[in-house]
Amino acid sequence: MTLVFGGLGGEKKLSYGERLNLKLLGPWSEKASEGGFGLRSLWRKYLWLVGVAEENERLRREILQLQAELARLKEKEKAYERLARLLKVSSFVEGEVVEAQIIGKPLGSWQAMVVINKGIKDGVLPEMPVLSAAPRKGAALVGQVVAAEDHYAKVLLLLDPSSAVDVLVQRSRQRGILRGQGKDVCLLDYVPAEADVRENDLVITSGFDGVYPKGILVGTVKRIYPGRLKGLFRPIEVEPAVDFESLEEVVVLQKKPKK
Amino acid sequence: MRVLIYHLLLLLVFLFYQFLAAVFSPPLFDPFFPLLLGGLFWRFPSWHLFLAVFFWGLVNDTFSFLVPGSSVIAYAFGLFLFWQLKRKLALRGFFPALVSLLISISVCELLRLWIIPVLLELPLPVPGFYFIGRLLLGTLTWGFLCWVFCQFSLVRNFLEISSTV
Repeated sequence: MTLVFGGLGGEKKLSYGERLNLKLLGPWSEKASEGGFGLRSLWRKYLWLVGVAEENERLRREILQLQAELARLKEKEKAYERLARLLKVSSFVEGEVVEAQIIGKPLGSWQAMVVINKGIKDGVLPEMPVLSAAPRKGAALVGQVVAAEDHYAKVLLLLDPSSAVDVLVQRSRQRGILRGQGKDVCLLDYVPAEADVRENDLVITSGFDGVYPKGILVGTVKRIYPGRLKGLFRPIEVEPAVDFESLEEVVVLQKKPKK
Repeated sequence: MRVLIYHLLLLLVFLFYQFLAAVFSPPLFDPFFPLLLGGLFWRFPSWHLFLAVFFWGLVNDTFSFLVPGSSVIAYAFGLFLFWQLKRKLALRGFFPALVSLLISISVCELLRLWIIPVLLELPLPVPGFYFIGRLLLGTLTWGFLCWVFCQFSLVRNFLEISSTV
């Protein structure tokens, strides 16, 4: 019982047995996952080349569009920096990040979590936000660290039913709680039925939950249920920006409040 | 030697499962419980079996659950149930033993994926019956395949599996 439940209250939030397991099987699992990702990469890059020419052409066009957009955004960024200096608004978080690789996935379970190969000795602690690259959208939220060992950590994904994130709809600033459902889409809850939310609106973190810094991209509104299905509120489906199926690498955002 | 093969087999299954999870997505079955049940037939000291149940249950919890304990408890209960079905109900022969295997897997998986998480107040996925049902079906299929594999006379002789446990 001590091995199964002992030590959960500590800084690592892992039981003694789980710590032992991660020490023993972490390196093995890492090798197996590396082999799997390698095989998948080989398949995608060298064997499955259907449609690559068309995709190259599309990507070239997209690069031109993105370059134009980048120039516009750089101008906006400079304007924002000037305004921030003027208003003495500073970011809550200093952007120290730790890059990590996914080395373990759930074994026959509905819980959405992964094990990464960075832990307390690399500066990864519970309740740190985890991000990853989102296709054509920069960095987006993956979830949060829920437990950590010296060299490994457990990450709870946005899709897990235990996950809840305080978010904003970027366009209308409407606030809600994004909850995992266990499937590929999350539910944006506690949004009033009269709220101004439209399909394809971007959803970002609000920063009010104290776990995730404000302004991290979470996903896009996919479907809005008509009427008041849940009392005063209107449930909304949000598609996460990150593709969890092909997730291999993540970054952990180290939260360090400014002195 | 048989004990070593048994533990190596469990380790290999774990590694292959993680390999498949990395290439595609996690396969929809519990890799350990049917193999742990198979350990009952290998006639090695029971503490090895309990050690395997405890260790691999905890491995499953470490990689799969927010709160540890559900797999360890479910595996121990499932194994105990299977043992009781075999001994107390005097189930003998291919079909009754297969039925007791399917019952044990169903009870163990429902305990692990549904009842214990509910008792621990973990929110379940929506719709729960779909997510739990497909994992249960996957584990039953995996258990059946393991069972069929062990029925080959070559395998039975190699593993020295008794037909009258």
